[in-house]
Amino acid sequence: MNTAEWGRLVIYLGAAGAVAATVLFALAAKYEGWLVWARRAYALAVFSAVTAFGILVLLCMRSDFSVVYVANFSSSDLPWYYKLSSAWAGQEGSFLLWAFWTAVLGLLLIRRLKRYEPLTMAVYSSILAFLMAILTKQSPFLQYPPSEVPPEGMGLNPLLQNYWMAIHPPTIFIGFASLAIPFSIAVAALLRNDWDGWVQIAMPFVILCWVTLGAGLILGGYWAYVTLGWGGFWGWDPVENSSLVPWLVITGLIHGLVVQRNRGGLHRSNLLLALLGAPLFFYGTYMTRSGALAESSVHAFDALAKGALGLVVAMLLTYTVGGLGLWLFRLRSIPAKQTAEGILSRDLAFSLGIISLVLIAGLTLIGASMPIISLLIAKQSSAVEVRYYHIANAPFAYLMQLLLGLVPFLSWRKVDDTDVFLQRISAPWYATLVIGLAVAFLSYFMRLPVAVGVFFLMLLATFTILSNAILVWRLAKRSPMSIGGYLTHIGVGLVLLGAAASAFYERKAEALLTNGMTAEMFGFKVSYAGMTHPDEEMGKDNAVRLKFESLNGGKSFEARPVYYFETHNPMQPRRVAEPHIYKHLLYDMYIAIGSDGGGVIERTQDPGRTLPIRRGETKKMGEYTIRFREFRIRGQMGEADMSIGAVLDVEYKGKKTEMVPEAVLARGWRPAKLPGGGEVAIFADEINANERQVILHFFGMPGQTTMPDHVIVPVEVKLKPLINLVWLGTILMMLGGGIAMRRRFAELRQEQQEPAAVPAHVGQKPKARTRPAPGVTGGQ
Amino acid sequence: MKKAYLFAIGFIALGLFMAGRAMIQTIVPYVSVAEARESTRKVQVKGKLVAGSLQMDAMRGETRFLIEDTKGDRLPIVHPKLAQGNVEQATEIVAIGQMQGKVFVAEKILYKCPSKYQGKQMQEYQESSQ
Repeated sequence: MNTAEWGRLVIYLGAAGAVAATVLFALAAKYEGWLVWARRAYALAVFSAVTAFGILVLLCMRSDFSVVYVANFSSSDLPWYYKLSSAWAGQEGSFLLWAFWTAVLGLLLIRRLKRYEPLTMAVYSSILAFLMAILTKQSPFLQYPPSEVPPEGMGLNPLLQNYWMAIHPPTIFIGFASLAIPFSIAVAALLRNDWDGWVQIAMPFVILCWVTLGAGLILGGYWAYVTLGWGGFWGWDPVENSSLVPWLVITGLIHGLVVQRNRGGLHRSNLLLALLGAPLFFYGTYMTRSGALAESSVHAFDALAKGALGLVVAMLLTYTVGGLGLWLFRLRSIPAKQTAEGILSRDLAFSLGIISLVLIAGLTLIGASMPIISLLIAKQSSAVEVRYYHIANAPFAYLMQLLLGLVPFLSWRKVDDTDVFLQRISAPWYATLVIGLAVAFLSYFMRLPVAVGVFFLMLLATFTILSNAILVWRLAKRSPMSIGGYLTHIGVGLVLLGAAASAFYERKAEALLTNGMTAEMFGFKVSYAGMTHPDEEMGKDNAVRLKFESLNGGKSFEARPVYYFETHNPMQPRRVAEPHIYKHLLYDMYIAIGSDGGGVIERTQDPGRTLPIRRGETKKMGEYTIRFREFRIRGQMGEADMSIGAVLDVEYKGKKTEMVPEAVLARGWRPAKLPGGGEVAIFADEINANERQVILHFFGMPGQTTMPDHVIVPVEVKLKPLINLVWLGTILMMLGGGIAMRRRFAELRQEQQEPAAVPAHVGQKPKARTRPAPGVTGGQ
Repeated sequence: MKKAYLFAIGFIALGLFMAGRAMIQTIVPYVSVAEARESTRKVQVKGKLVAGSLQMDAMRGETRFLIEDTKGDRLPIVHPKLAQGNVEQATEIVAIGQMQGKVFVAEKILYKCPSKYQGKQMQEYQESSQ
């Protein structure tokens, strides 16, 4: 048996193990004796999933092109780390990565479940069983018959050949996999009629899910910013939305669990939110991989095979209907305790915050699903514009931002005295006002554009940052483990502030540059200085050199944006513009070639790329043998759309084809596609009717794409102020999440070691003071 | 307690109302060529590329072509940049944009090409946007 066959075998083994674990854990809930066997079955499933993933990695590292997956997503010239990341670059590999993390996280989970183990693990194993079953239908281990094994693989999409893209999928898939944990625990809680016991177990895992999913989203956004060249980090694409929606729900769940631990309320909504995360992601998986959104997404997942897609749908329906059904069935027995007591209470603030998060998730979900919804209702698929997400989500984003600023100064349980409250928030509030006035004055002075909405959002974000920073400062010495939430909130404020400022105050400059031409942009004299490798093909490693010379005595530098024609999939070539980002503390200068796809316009007499040819002549160009048979004229003389075509007989690798590049008199042209990629074109002003001669221009031909000398480079420079706040904010969010996660895991360990001795509110300061210091009142 | 609830419910209702309005404003409806010609807002229109009508104007950086819908109605379309990929092989084109005079200015075009990928024949949409 060869390695790939072993791979196919362990996938079946894993599916069998996971199904057995599901059944045995369910049995163990009733008859404890089965627990040992259930664990063994689960161990088998884990062993299989890990082995399968290991085998795929091995096949990718070995460049074994007898395996279809490896041939499609890897090639032998890749460095080892991109060979490794081709293991999850494709459809099948990403499902295997998902299954791998699900299996491994189960090992971490199972040790902390105690009495929850049988039921939780039964549900959890069933999810793993679904994933392994999908992999049997959409296997990464399919092989070519020995006679058809390609000598070389298609290689990894150059867009994915990026440091951030190498670590983004492994990170975000920990998040996707861990969505199954709160779901499984919540089902177990509903089955056990235990409305409080599940919270302490779920808490650290929910935060783990939040941190990994969040880090994955951030890495993806950063990748988009540094490679795609359009200048943003978030585009409300269906694939992005399908990870954002569950993340927002999980964010809501964390806050709900905090309320339940501190105030003993929100039992119903917490269970509901825990049950929603995983099905929402299954729905996103269906949406992005079924081809249902083919008309509105550019993400390059192919449609899944029928059998595998059927299983995704079955998975979606099983867990949505099962989870919600169980919740509805138990709804009347779940306690419903009033918590919100007045406007100035932390309870109400948390409730409103959770509602806002869930509404933002819901509105985003509806927007992303619009192509499907409209297809069902109107039989035609219509998408919403990106600005829908901004307009629809704005009110709740504003509310949330306000709450984030107020919460540090509100107490649990009681309604605060208005005067006391106003006194508490006065410091950050006045500071915000001063900053706001200063910015407003500066904007007026510098004639910057003003928009009330954006300004207001920035003001609220500043307030959030200041008031949470005050609290972090105070808590840092006393109980450093409790600053997690506040640190995260500072991060949220920074991200919003940076995003708003960099988008709204962005300035753009464009110029067309050729040899010897310069342009002035943002205090720099910009000139084109050739290519980094002038004799090589245009490609990912061959950048355009642009000299930026400071006009006011500052530092000069050379920008090296990349522009190339990506022919990874020869049938779908695309132009890629990777920006050069000049980093400054206060702004980024985002330098890209062309606004996406505008492209480098080349027209050259370079003999390697052009071929003068007379009627009746036969000439060779690279691997092509070309005979110019005759002219073909369409339209009337003198009309703008009259076109002159050159009928060519092209022989390529023993195959003859006729092609007709045309020149359109209104200065346009219609190129003809060459077999093997590339195009051939003729231009009206170069047609010599007397000599019966044309000049053939070759574009994007493989092996012949060196940059000509006189090229026109469209340069686009965007100045993005304060974008670094976004990255700083995301770091703080993850740091805060990490601290909170450590704290909750420590608490869980402690509680499980001494079950009865520790009350529900662990790690909380005594509440003996008459007027508690802000923020320490309720733990967190 | 009453006040708190009223405040919350009122705010949420207002927010949802605005979200609904945003949805109506930003949805880009699918229309026929005849409807597109009369439209005053952003729409998307689908049709076949009229053979031989594609012009790539490198000097102006424009792509111009005609599409024909199922009723045989034709519409001239201008896409203000050079389209990516092989539009001329497109079996179906979706143009998203607005009428300006007698031409439809498409800020984004999606086109379906018969493409061969991973040895499977399938239809794939490509995108070109402004």
